[in-house]
Amino acid sequence: MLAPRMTTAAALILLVFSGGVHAQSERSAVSFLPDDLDLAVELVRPGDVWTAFRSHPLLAAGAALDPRFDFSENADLRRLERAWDLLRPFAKGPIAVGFRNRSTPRLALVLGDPEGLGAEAFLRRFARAIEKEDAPTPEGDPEDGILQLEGVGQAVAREGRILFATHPPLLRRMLRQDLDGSFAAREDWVELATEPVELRALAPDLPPLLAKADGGDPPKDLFGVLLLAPFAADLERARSARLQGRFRSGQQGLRLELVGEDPAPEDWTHSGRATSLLPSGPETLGRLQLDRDLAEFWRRRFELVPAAGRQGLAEFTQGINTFFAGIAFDEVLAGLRPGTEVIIERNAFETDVEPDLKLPAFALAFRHEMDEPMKDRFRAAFQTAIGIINADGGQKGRQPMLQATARVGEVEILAARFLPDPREGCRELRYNATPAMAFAGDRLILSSSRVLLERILRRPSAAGPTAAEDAAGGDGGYVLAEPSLELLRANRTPLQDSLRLERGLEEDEAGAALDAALAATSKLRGFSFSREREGRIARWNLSFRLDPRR
Amino acid sequence: MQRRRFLGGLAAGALAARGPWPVLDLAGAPEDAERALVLVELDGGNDALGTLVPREDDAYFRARPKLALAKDATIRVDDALGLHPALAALAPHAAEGRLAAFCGVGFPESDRSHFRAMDVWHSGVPDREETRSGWIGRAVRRAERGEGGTPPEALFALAPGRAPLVLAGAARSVTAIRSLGDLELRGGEEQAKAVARGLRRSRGKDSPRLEEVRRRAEHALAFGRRLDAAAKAAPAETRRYPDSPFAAQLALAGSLIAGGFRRSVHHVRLGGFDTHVRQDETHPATLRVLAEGLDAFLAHLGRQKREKDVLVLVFSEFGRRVAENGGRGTDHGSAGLALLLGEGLRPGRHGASYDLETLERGDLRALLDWRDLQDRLLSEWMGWAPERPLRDGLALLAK
Amino acid sequence: MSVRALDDRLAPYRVGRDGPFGLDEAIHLARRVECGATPARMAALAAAGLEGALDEVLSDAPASPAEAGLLAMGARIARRGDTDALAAAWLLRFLGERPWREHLALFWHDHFATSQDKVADLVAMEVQNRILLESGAGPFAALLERVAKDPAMLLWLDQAASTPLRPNENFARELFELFTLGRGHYAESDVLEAARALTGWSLRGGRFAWRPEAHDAGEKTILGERGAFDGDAVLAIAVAAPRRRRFIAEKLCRWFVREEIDEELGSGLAALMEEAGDVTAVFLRRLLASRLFFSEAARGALVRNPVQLAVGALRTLDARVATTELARRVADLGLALFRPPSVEGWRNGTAWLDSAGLVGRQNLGVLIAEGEDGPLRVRSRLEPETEGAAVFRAFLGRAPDEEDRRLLVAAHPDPRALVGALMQEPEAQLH
Repeated sequence: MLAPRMTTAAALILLVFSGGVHAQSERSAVSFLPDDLDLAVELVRPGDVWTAFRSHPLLAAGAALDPRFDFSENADLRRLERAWDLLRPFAKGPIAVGFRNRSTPRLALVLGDPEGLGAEAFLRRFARAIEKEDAPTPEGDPEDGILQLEGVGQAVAREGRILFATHPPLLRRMLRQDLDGSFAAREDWVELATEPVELRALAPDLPPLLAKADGGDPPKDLFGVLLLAPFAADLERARSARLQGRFRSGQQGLRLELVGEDPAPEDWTHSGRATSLLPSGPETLGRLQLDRDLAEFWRRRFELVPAAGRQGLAEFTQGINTFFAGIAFDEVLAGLRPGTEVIIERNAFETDVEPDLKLPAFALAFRHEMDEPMKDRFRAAFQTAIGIINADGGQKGRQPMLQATARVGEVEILAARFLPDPREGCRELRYNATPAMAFAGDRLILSSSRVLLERILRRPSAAGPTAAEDAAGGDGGYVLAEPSLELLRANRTPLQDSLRLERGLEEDEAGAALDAALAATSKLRGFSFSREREGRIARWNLSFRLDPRR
Repeated sequence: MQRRRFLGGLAAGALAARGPWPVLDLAGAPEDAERALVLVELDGGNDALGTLVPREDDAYFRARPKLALAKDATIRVDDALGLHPALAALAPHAAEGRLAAFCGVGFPESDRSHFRAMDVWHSGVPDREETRSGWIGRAVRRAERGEGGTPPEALFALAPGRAPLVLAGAARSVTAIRSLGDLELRGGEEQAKAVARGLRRSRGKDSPRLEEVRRRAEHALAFGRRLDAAAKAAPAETRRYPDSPFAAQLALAGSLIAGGFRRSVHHVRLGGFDTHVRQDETHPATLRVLAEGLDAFLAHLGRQKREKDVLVLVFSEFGRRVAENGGRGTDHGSAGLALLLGEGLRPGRHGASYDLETLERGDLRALLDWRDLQDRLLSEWMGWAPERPLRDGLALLAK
Repeated sequence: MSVRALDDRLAPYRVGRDGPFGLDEAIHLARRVECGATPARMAALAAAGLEGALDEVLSDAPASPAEAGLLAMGARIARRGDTDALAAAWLLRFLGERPWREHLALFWHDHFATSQDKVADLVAMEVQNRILLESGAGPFAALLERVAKDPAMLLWLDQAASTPLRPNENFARELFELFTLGRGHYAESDVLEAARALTGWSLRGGRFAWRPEAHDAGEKTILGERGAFDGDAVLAIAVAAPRRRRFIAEKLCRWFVREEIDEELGSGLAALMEEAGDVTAVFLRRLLASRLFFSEAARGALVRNPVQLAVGALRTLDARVATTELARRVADLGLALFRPPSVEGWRNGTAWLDSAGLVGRQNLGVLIAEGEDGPLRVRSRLEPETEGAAVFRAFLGRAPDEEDRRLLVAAHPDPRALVGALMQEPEAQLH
């Protein structure tokens, strides 16, 4: 096992280095790494990476709301910044990190040394950065100039750079690239290196790298599996991985490509869909699309969910079956074709009094091939569900829900709304929920709000500012910052309440924290992610759009 | 007529003798002062017929046209009964004589409400509302007062959620924990020193109330150390248990027993038995969690050489209706199933099998009063004074 | 005068003749009424003298805008249905300006123990909480009527589901057993007859509704009285029953003064309640001004419940704290606000001090000592020059002796560290 400190160090190296001045020889940093590593990372412009991280609006917003994200409060972040300050002189040009995860994990670094500080200065600073201040004096070999610091590693100065490795054989390999072959000469690296990005990484042989990595707990619930299982499956099947990162202002993104064997039969995950089921509009906050075959997923649910989740799953199945009493839930799912979409929008309030907590409305759509009798049974199940809510609520003296129908063109909407609560202060609907459903052509749409459903049905299928993104196939989703911020502003009071309770802030302190967080987040324009599969390659993209003017 | 049939099914002599309870075989068991009892509650009302299946009874197939299991699908227990195949993990225990079953255990007046039925089972008092003490708690109280038997070292409530009423009523408190670390001092050794210093300093102060607090704090510190020692003596074996919250409760019980709490009572709980619809989908999954958890627990005790010290009682607040409903499920019933697991047993069915010919309101008739079973466990296994005079053998409910 | 005749211990404490009113007495008073206070406030109470101190701790000032803001926050949270957050909002009020009202509300929450676990309507729970706060200090009969006719109670004890055909006895039984008289002071038949009389009390649209058509209008005999009683009459009969004064007075005495009550003291308390006109605040003031309250036997004689312990420590520090986390920790210690374990309320006294409870309490001290870096995020607003010895005395109720010096030195200068260290001591469990 790699010592925890070393792991931290590896993370530091990835995140911390900054600079921007090319001062070394033309030779690339990665060319100093041997070709049999499990992972090589090149930070072409470490400064951009650090700046992007250090000044990220989400980090700033997080810091305003919670000291755990604050560099001056959080001990880990403080440590990180200190390490960065210590090692900054060596990070003024590209750096390379190599990692080998065999019997003993090994770490290699290639850094610049434009100021000529030398290997000893580096080792001392590195030891301090990983908090091994008590390390003895580095011992050197006068012949080859290699310095060793016990418990830290070996380093040597070469061609204006510092080469470092945790183990002597690894450092010797780094010094003999010409004889043994360099990582930079690998064909797949050469291909990767042509793209102008700030961060690139290649794991040519993924299984050993992941062998000891603790992937954390597998998702324990159905929804976790539904969302994350494709990623786990991609990773499981992958032979190698490539990562590219951009950290320029305006656009930041990570792109991970997993190259696997030929795609296994996709079972319940699907790819390649034509058009969007839920067109977006000016009120849209975000959306999510998942290409899954839900019928297949449901059929196999007990094998897909780890043992720990089965108990809950059995209970969930009971619950859902109660809701669908009189109709087989499997049959419902069998009437659905692969592909699910969720859209989140600003809510519209049907009463003059708005609720305290203004949750957004959401809608869920499937493509279906149900015949009329089946559709009617589904409608009946919707009404049963409302009936169950009413029966339960009635026992507890709660307001009942009233069912009604509405029409948009040819489409009939089934909906329900709570009767207003006559009690003082409770007139506002608690969650402004007006559950609704409709069959529109081959679409089955369920929504938390009747108004949203009507809105969707009235929308031309390709309208709205993000129509292009709507149409992309595969898994994906986005959140738009501007309307989301508006929603946060509208919920200022409940947010302030929870800051007071959860952080022990005074009312004015809570207000100030919220303002600071909102100001920081206003630099953000949006976040999106996608997963596509193309033959042997699964491609995951994460991207932030920032407002360069702010 | 029915009565005769019932009597015919009884183990020979069970009704006649004043002698020891024929269900237990205490030949290899330790002194009763070293025995532990584990209560496994199946929350929601477990379907007896779908757990221990009357595989040869035509009435069963008539009552359960959709849910009935094929004869050879079940795991044979005897000529009449078979375990649900999802209980496969219990099959070796049944085969090797560690499983005893009672079909049709209930209270004279059943209530189909979960809450009421649960209160009745836990309190052991069916004829009035009793929400303050349970049958174990009261028995421990009697032992504490010197009215028979050795009190337990601890009563453990290991399931999350509501506190089990069954343990309430003793002078000693119920220890509700989720892990061996629950009584750990957050501040470690330094805090332990501070606590010890406080204990030392408050000694000899002229205040009975403070003396009482000091005594309890001393006990807490010692109890925490015992848990700590238990954790060290019997390292958590969670890895050898299946990955379920239920198994985690049993793993904790196993560690506590193996780690030194030999004389103790444990309560664990598994939910999901309220199978009104699609019982054929959900019940097997839940039974599997039950069986795999119990199997791992018994194996754990075996590795720790504690298998003879522990008896496990599996129960539910009520059984379910005999006839299935329209949704491939079953509704709340009354009499249900009791299972005992452990080494010190005479295995197999005790008493009659289900009587599916004479139902009450569509429910199984109670052939055995829960209170008689509870009292037998108290007196014969734990060595405590029973609540009522022991009734001979497996007494039929007065009807 | 009748009180003194009955029991000398309830006679007013005369400063000088019966003993002093100094810092120790002020600390005793503030710990019992407010759960705790800063050293500065303790000193001010001592300086104000007995009457002045009682005026101050039982202040009849109306709710400030800040407190009104917190109540509005509670109502918002209730509509959202977040029980944990509602408990947190209550604790935030407890750390605020009128702790005695909150403390009394907690007493009544224990007395009329109602749980969200069954009521399943947080708005109703919050409304009940406000009733306990607003009417908790006033006449008992008015409080009882408000609580009894409130949706939370109607749901909790099934009164709303009671019909003449099947009168539900739950509320009727607890009304006599737990709310007004205690076991042994009514007969089973009183419960059955009262249940009949209470039929017709119902809920409509989340509010109390009187439904004459669902009322059993026949004759009933309740506690020896005969008539065609309805629910209001049942409450009146229970309140008028001779045992009721003593029952309530004893319970207040056990909560605020001491647990041991002999026959003579019980009668004295009942008489004191009568003199107080059954107004809780008036009774409480007389009780706190009695010789009994300042007697040696009453000092440090009560076990702090988890709220009293946590609030006491934090009020001593004048702390700002993450109350969501605090509510969670206090619930772990067995006192989940809005979720009492049963209609009997919490088991008070030494029942709090089981092994897990004690370790949890000691760990709460460590959490407080962790300050802002810990999950409770404790900030103390004590003046920096506040002496450790004064904090010690305010929290533990006695001055530090020579042996305690090391503890003071070790915790210096952070009062949070000091209070956290004191919470490891057996003495901290009492007040």
